[in-house]
Amino acid sequence: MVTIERLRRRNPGAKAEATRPESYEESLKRAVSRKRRSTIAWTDEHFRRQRDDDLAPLLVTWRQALVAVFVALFVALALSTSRLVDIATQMPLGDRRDVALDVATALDDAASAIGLDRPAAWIEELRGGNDAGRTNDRIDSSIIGESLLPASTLDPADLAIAPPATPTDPNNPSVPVTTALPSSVADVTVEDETVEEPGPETVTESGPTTVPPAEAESALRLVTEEQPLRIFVGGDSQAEFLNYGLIDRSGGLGLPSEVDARWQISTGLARPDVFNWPAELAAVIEADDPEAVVLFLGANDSQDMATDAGVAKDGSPEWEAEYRRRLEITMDLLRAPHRRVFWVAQPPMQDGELNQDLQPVNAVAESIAAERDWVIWIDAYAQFGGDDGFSTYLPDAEGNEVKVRAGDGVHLSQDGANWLAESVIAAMLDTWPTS
Amino acid sequence: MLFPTLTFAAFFAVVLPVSWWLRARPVRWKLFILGASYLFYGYWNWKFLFLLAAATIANEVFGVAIHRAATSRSRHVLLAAAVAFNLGVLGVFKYYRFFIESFNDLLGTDSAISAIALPIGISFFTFQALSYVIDIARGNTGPAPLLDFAVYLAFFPQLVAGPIVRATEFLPQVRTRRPPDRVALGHAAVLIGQGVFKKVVISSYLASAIVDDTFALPDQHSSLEVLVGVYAYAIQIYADFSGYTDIAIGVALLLGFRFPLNFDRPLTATSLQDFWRRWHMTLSRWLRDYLYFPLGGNRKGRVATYRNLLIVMVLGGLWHGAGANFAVWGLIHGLGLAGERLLAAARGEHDRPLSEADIRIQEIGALHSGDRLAPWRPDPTSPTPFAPVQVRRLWLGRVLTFHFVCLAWIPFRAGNLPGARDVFLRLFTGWTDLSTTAITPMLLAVIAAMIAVQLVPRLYARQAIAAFSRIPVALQGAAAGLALAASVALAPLGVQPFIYFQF
Repeated sequence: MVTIERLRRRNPGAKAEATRPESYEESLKRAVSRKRRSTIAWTDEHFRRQRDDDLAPLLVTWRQALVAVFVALFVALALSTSRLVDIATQMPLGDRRDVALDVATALDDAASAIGLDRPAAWIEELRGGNDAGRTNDRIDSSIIGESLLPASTLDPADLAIAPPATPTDPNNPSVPVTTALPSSVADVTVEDETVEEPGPETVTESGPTTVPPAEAESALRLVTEEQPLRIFVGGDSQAEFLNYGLIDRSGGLGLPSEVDARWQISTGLARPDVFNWPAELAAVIEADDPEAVVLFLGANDSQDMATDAGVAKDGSPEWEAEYRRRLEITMDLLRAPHRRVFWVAQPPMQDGELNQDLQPVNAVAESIAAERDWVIWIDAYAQFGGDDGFSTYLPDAEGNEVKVRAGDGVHLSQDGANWLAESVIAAMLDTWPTS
Repeated sequence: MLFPTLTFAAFFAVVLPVSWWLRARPVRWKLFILGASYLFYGYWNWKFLFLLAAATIANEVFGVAIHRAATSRSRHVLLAAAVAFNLGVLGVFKYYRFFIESFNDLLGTDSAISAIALPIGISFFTFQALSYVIDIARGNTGPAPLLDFAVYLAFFPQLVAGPIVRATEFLPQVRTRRPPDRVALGHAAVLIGQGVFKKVVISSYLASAIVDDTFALPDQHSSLEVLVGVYAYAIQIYADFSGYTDIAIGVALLLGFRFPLNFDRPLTATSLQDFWRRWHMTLSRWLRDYLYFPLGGNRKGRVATYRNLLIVMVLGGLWHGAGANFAVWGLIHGLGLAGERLLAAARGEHDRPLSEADIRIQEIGALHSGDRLAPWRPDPTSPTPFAPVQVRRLWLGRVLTFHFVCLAWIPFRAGNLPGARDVFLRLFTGWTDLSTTAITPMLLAVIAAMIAVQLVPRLYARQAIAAFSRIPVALQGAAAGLALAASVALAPLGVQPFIYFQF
């Protein structure tokens, strides 16, 4: 494109012409005229000329295009019905979800009956082989909004949780949690969490129970360079940056550590049908026996939950009771003499409504953490502004303003996560003696 | 609404037939497409619809006033007001914090700063609005009726992430009925299929396989891993951004609209100047036409040219976001471009102004017209396309340009300058232990494949698309459907958000 000045230089006559204001229609005519074609990046005239020679056989009518679009959508949907079921599963609980799930399941059944699910299953198998699993759900720190992830690929049978590996303390009840998926995918009554009762100190479903002090301080060993602290970080997308922060900062702050992590975008305790954190944590304990478990969960928990008694509406007393129960189960299953849980609060959110919605999430978690001496509350809410509200920038120790939040108003920036990690590490240094 | 989602598929399945059905009733069509576009935008956050509507009305008022201005002086004053208004809106939403903070630093004051949410696509539609008022002031177009202009600014395929279509390209297409028998289906299918695959599969894979790790924790990785991470990011951002605009162009084609291309195999650029004719081409030409040329371009002597390049590139960097890292990214490119010219002048090569053929952007329609290879790229149709000297120079240029561009991406991705410094230093300090778990054969294969695909001459790609366009329509649709299904199956869990939304 050339500027009008350059055109005028080339064509002195144009100057006089340009002094009179040109109407819109005139300018359109000029835009599509052959003479000025080179000054217009694209015009219909240009296109028409093309069509006359070689383009015609390559173009179709809009009806043909519509047919092609519908064929494309049909083929894509027919081959991806399992993903449709995943998407429907993740929808907020309610009638819309029920209908969507019914439709998706019916489509999936039909597709499976004629073998259309095989290509996707085959690819899934291939992916599973190459999948790093714990590092597959990365997001960019600069995202806007959270994306949903498809339902956990765990088989329902895998969700029956074994008791913690080595319950060495007789006062420490094993807390087997059986979290079953709904018998039918369309059925919303989820979560049949039963708790065995081996002794009087059992955590039951009937609201908060006073849990006795867990373990003697001496169960916490000396952390050395040779035997670093085994840390596990879990949670939703926020946990990714915290994980990086812990790896980055622990050495410098004098805490020898090995950090393992798992994060799943858009998960929490509200929807075990989407991702079952208690089951995941039980598996982690059994496999790796971490000494410090850092959990950064809750941003996705302000939503309706399915209970035995039906759907607990977000914000209702039933919701609070159910959320309390789930938190207790999660915290209790992590209990062991040598282990501590670091539960990270949700920082203030930019969106006032979301911030308000997350207050009960923080309040319930904090109160339950306070009842358990193996759970250490990391008050990220206060650290990132507290009741002063959301702040993208906060001053560091030297007074320099640091961008601590991502542009979406939800996530921490990596600098913010590093700062939070420093708080977590400080709490760990208070907990474990180091050499 | 994001393109690669079920929601958009349902939305488009309704909008496409209704749009064609209404083609004979222009006013209804415009109202419909405007409503659809506002739904598309408001689906993310309806509150910002007011901003879009206000920007539309204000720019229309400016456009009409500029057009009616009796004197050149009043026209210039009005234009200045229009530019100030648009940059002001952009400034409030995008740069407010940056300016207040710089102001505080400068004066040692401590003004309170509150956070303002960034409306998606604001940089894109603001630049389109600017092109409209400037083109009116220059006499390139008259002011369009409000409804036409509203459709131009809000048209959903390009609303959130470009390409930055100019008023003079788009308005004639709104004004005239879209020809119902001239839909470039084959090309659209290829663009959408490859766009979704690049966006959903390639970009997401590279991010999770190595990029996120190496940029977050450079010190935990060897230099080799960081190097591959930087290469991977260059390809990730290309796949992400070009993928999204490919879908946008394809969707527009199905509606009968032709948008300019936004990317032309940028990984094969032989010089930085060449890179900027291939990377985010619609932004490059916007900056060239509305900033570089008004500054004097390269016509005011060598020093002024270098200065102009630096100004344009730094501002182009800041367009991406209010951050010193983006300014540094632009500065690196500006210095590189100036350096290239300096080198060419030192070698006695002709430091000529850009010719018309050089600066003309490749358009969508050019796909089917004669090849437009730049003068010193090889011509595959020539009997001796590759003279040995040319080939050496070509490849040396490609390798150097690719590495320069990768280097500049470091501050862009790192997010801040200390982070960029860490990544950069790690490129040199971790060569002792090269054992790696991050660099897998799959990762290297993906990087190599993405580069190799770009080396296919444009002519062959065109022939392939032309051949595809000739197969039966239903088969074209089925092929696109297979590509979509493969993308869905291969996508990592969760659709990755789009990098360029934040800009």
